Amino acid sequence: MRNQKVRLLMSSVFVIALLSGCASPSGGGSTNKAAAETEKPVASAKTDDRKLDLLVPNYYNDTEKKLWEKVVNKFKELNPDIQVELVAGEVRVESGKLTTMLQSGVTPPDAILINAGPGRVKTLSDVNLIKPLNDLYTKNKWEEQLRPTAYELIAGDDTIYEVPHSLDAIMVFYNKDIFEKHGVQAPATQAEFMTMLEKLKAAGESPITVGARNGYAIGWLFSNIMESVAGREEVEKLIYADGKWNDPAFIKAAETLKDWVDQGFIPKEAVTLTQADSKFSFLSKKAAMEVEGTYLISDLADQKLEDSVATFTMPSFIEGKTASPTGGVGLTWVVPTKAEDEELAETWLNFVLSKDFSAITLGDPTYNLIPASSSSATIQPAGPVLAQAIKDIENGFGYNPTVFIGPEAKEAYYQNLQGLVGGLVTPKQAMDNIEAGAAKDRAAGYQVKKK
Amino acid sequence: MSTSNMVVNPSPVSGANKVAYKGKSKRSFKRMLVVFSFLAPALILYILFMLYPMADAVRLSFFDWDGAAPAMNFVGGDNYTQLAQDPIFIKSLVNNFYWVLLSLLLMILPTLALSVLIGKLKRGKMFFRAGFYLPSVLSLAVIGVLWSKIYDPNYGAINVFLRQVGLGALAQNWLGEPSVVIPALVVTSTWAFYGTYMVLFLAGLQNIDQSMYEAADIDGAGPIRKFWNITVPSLRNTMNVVVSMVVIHALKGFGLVWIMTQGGPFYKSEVVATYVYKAAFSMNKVSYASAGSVVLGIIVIGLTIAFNYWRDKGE
Repeated sequence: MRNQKVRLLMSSVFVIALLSGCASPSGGGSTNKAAAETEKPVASAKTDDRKLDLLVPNYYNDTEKKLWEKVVNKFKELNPDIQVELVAGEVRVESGKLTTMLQSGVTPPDAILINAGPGRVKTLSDVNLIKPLNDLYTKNKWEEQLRPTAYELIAGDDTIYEVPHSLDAIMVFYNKDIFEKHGVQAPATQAEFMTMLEKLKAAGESPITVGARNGYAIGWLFSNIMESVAGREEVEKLIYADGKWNDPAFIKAAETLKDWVDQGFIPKEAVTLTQADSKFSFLSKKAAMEVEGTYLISDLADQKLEDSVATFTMPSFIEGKTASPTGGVGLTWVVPTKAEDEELAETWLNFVLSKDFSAITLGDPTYNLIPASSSSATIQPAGPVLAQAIKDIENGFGYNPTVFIGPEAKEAYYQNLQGLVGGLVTPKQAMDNIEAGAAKDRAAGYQVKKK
Repeated sequence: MSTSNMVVNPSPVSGANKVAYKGKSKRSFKRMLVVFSFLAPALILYILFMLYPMADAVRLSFFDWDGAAPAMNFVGGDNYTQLAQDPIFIKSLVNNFYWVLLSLLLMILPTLALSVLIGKLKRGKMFFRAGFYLPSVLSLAVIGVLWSKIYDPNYGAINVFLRQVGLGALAQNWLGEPSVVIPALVVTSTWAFYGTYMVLFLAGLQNIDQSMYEAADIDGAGPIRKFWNITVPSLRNTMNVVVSMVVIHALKGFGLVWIMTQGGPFYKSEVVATYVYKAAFSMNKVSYASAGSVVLGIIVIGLTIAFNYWRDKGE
């Protein structure tokens, strides 16, 4: 009988322990809240012990990691009373990890650097996972501290939730030695571009490599084709107005992609390559060109290939028009609603937009992003590829649709571009499918605005 | 007198009987408590981590929730209606069944034959058993990356071998051609899991009465006849377990597809699990994804019950 009582008691203790262990830290009862409330003043009182927690995208390589360390050290030098904890991790909203982490409310960072785009930011802001920053914009005059293009792209709605960190410039990277070997040069016209592709193909080279298995990577290439074949006005109409994916201009762009695959300018096998495979192929000189963003610069530095790789903008295929690299805001800072210390985030964001930040990043030849701050516009980048990219977007840039379109359209976009490369769908069908996705997004209220 | 009558119109009982009745029910209650106390740890864990998430997925499937919004709307069976009209979901289901069929073909008989061969070895049995089991200890991520390289159209071992032996015409883009992508994935999956089924078959083989083989030898039966008439029928129970596991695994498969093709090219290797993942996390349609999961769950449970019913009936 006594044993039974002991067993009962132990079981009860086990059950209570289990239930309390399973309770969500954020969903705790009043006891937890009370404890948190009593602890907070103690933490804020220790002003000399403040710690800024930052979450940034996974590093591409060691060069990028060292650059971030350099940036953080500069910040610490300017703010000696603030400790910084920089963590690299998954920051793509699509992966689901970021939203889960923010929803849990467990140790949210003070600021997060995410892949930009209205669709991504909207996913977080719609459900109050990130803070509106309008007050901070007014207080710190951030509008003036951003390049006008960057501000226009994020200020379409009344409420602003982000501070742009970098601008994308997606263009054609090419191996100079392969071009020299076959006597071709960076093309300036459609005719030159096509001749160059044919010459390289005839010489047994693989002209363009692309990692079509990763939707964003085939999206980079297709964004350049759209800019060249359909033209920026058409793409702008598609993103901000009443343009449709199955308009003739975009079907023509899809036909161009298919034609390049059919002619062997892009290998059909690209359908199974990842972006990493494609990058390897390009950097190991197995392919002449790859359409990429400036992010590739740190890989070039990492592998000491800065002198053998250069860039050009895919020329316009429309008579009398010029094309630009495609892009938009590349990376952008957001502040989680559950972040503990907004003041720290504000200090950091002021630093990101400062001349100190631009000087330390652009002064490093391995830096691979175009800063979104207006202060960076006056600094000449040490790296030649980045300098060229900044020069190329001086007159504006085209659009990378991946950044702007809604979730249904994006999924259809990735799959159908892959289908085009694999010869599994016709250009017309592909564009009809993407339009069907976009129609679902519109029906769900998805709309992108520009200032 | 029925029990209900006893409750509604309790017959008069003496004081002693009342005390005895109370004592009995108290003892019964205590016994129940003791039973529950033993069951509680496992039961609570089962309810918390198995039943509750499943019930919650079913609940979510009747709402319209994006995975983050504080509020959600009840939409009844709308998600299920949409699924029935969604060509990609239907294609995913068809791919799942194709996967099941290929898995059954590639997994059951070859693994059984391998187990029989290993079981017959006089020396080195342990070496071969461990060697063939090795792939089962690797993580799916490692297996996925490994086989992606093996299937690489340009530098992959298979195509390089085919080209070197003069069969270059057979070289394929294994993960890029619609006709071979699912078989290629199933081969990888078979390689990853056959070790587990081999161990089950080996355990089953050890339980077969050796005198049956001796009697068959006396009767002059050959190895194939012994295999079909003694080994296979004697492994009936093991076979049932293996078939159930293969079917369930094939329907639930996610990891390898996600790592190797992400459902591509152009949905050609999309299975319900990958489609549901994309719907939930790329398209923020958590309720829709829950409905897809529920449909898959019902199919898995239904098939398992049907198979067990058919097996029991056969016995």
